[in-house]
Amino acid sequence: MKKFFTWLDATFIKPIENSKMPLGTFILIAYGYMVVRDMLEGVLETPGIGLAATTIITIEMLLMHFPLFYFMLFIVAILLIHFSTGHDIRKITRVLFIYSFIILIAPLVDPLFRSGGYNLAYPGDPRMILQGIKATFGLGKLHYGGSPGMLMEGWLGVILVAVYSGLRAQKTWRKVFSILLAPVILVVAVFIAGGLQQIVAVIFGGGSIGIANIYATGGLIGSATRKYSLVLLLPLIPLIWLGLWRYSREKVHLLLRSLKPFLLVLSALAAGAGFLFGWLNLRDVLVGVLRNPFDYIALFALLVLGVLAGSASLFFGNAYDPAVDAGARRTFRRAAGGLFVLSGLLAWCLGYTALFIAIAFFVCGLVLHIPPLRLSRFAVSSSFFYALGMFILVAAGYSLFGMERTLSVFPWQLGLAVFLPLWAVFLGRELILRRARPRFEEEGEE
Amino acid sequence: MTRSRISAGLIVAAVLAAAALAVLPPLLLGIGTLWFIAPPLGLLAAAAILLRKNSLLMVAAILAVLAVSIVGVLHPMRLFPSQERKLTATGYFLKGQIFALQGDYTQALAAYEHSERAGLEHPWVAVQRAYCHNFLGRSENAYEIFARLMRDTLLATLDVVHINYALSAMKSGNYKQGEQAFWQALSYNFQPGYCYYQLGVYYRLRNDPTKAEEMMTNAHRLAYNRSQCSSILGSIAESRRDYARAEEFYHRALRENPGNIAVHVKLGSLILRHGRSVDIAVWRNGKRKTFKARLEEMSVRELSASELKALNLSSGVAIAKISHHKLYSVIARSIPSGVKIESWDWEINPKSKRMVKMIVKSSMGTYELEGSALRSASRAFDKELQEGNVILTIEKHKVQNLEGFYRIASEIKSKYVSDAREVLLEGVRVFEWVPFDLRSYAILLNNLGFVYAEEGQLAKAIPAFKQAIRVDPAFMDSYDNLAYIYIENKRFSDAVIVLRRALEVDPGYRPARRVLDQLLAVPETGQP
Repeated sequence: MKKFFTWLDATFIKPIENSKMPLGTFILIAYGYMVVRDMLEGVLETPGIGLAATTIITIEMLLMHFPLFYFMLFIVAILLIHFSTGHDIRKITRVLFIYSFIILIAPLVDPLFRSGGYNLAYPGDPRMILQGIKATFGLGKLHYGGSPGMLMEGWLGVILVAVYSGLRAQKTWRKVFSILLAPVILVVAVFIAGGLQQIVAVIFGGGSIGIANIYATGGLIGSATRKYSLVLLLPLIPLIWLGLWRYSREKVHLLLRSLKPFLLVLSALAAGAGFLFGWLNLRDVLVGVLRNPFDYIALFALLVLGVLAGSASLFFGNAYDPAVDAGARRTFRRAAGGLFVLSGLLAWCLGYTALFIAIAFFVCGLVLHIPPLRLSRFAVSSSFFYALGMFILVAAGYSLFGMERTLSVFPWQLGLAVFLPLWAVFLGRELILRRARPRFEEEGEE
Repeated sequence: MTRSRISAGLIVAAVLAAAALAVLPPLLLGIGTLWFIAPPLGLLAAAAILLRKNSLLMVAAILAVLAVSIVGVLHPMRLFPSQERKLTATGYFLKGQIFALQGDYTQALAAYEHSERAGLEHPWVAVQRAYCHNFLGRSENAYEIFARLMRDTLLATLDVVHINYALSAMKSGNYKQGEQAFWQALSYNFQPGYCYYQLGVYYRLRNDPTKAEEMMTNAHRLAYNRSQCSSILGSIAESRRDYARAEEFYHRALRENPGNIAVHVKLGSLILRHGRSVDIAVWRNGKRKTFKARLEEMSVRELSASELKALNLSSGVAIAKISHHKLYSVIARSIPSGVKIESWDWEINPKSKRMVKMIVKSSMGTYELEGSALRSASRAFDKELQEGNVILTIEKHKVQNLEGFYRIASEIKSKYVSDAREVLLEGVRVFEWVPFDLRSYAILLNNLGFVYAEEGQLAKAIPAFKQAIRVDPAFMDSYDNLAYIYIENKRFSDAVIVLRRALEVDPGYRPARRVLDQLLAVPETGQP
């Protein structure tokens, strides 16, 4: 037996653990599995899930909603394995992402059990979980939500995690503890898939019936799938930070030290002010909002978007700052890229106009910081783009009400009242910074 | 340059910041209160720049944004009338969008109309209005708008406008235009699956099953709403009396979407009326002998033409599936009163499928019906035949043991009923997980109540009908059935309550009015 595990370790685990590929490549591989799974679900499972028809909703499901669920699950699994075994989180991440192809089992296996596949759904009802447990032991059939393929991949996942944890835990108590903890992954999967949404529904919507009411009845976030995505994305952000902190404490410290709290507060406030002005200007006609609990969650997400976008802008600045050393610049570049993706997802959840506006914000950041233009070299242009960035965040907040008509209804007085004073303030800030660092100003370019 | 010295640039920046923060917000927003708040903030910003305190400067900016936001809540910002109009017009448009997302098309339509009245002139508002009309069933209005958009704007090139134009044309009775538009959409490759589906629905309504089948098959091949296509293909097969194929289609529809409870309704209904088709797969797999043995074991069975052909059977039996009380009553009238009928037998003309002879066995001997009695019995038999209560699938039936015949027929009937019940109950279980299609669920419950009634399980039938009424009060059949059950069981007051409720829902509902009038006109002893 020991020989078998040694062979298993040497053949399938160690080569991946010692791979030199960057983390981004592993994430992309896992993302690829997720997209393939979703596309196969649309073909091989009962329609209504995955890419069954090309609509805005299915695109949202395919590219955002379902991948967010899997990423959430994988990150929680990585953290659980890491804390229980004490093994290097980098190696765990590589192995888990590579072998995450087991998520393809369900759509490939289900049609073999029932032609036409199964009606897959989140286990938002405790009866579904009970059915799944019963079906595992051949006691009863799966009516809705689950499928034999899902049960297979769930249990296979538990076995693989238990084997890996057993191989990697050094101390006996850790071995026992981590193997016993493996089924928790299943519980976590069920919780993320159904429980999280149930909790949101119970808190805001009054139970199961409330789910349909709060997810599928419009509000500021029109699509139910974007609301589900938001429920997954908001807790995912601190989890990613926790994972990164365990991944490399030094790099996370470096990133955190480079943040400017006042600037981030201002960014969040700008987005919040946009939301407020959107409501003030349109409240007499938009009587359907703010009513849905997700309208308030959207406000919170908007504030988070302000902070994330502000942080990304700062990281972009550091990533191309000649005063920062090359190693740190690489870290900032990656962090900026990651935050760009997270901010983009958050903005997508809030609406398409918010997404386009967020992209405009990042374009400002690129123009400001990236060579050859790197307008941050000049105080006036730098301050202009910082102020423009803040104005864009105000517009992003406004877009939750103004939707695709935001720029046509946004009062120009408000725009000027926000933009011009901020430009002046940022001009002062730039001059203060330049006086504090005259040497770098003189260097001018990278 | 020393650190302590204040440069000209900083002074300029401080002045600009102070001026911009102090003057611009109150001036541009037209909020008087800001004149008391903004200038100190401007001074704070200037001081921060001159003191080179970046944090203080950021605090000033944060306070400025907060001040503008808080004061903005308390005092509305001043806008030009043109801006107010634009905000109102666009606001109503957005309001319409929100209501449309919530599925409240009446409110959405009102908002869009308000938006147009307030000055938002954009063809897209008209498109949205037309959508609402379509959803509200006012297809004529929708068609008018879409036709105008197709004629006068460039939106005709958009697939959604073209398709909706075609749909509204169909729904508003402009069939030629609708058909033409869908075919044109197909030539442009605008949502071909959907076009084939709609054309299939149209040809089906026009009683052209061949074309309808072709269109639905194409839509199914293009994977447009496969379950629904299979369901409609099943209905087409059913209308052609090809019940085995219909059942196959319904099963396929359920495989394609187990949550489609409308198919449970159709399949349950089919099984109740015609029973399950023989498992042809068994025969196809070369187990012909087993299949035949099964048939022989059953002794009697309804066989489809294709099955008979496949089995090369030259003779067989006919099965009377549903009750023969109507035929019984006709026969009873044809023989002396007081004579108890034990059984009856008949001969059928194989070509005309008309009854040519009827022999009745009774406690008083055997009677052969002749003349008007035979004609009455023949007419009753024909009626049963037309209604599908008696199905002839062979040239001539020959049953020696009528008692056994009816016993088996009754067993088969109860098998049909229990099979149908199982299908319907499965539909009810599915609805518990996918509770979306309320009308189909009401029909499902209604049919389930009917099946329970057939089985004599009134304790289950009545709650099923009641639940059907609760689920969809506008589905009138449930009131009829519930009232009928009450009347059958002499619970007339309950029947009156049900019928009155039906008339509350739909005052013009004639069947309920007629039965209620009858009930109230001839009260039973001890009844109201």
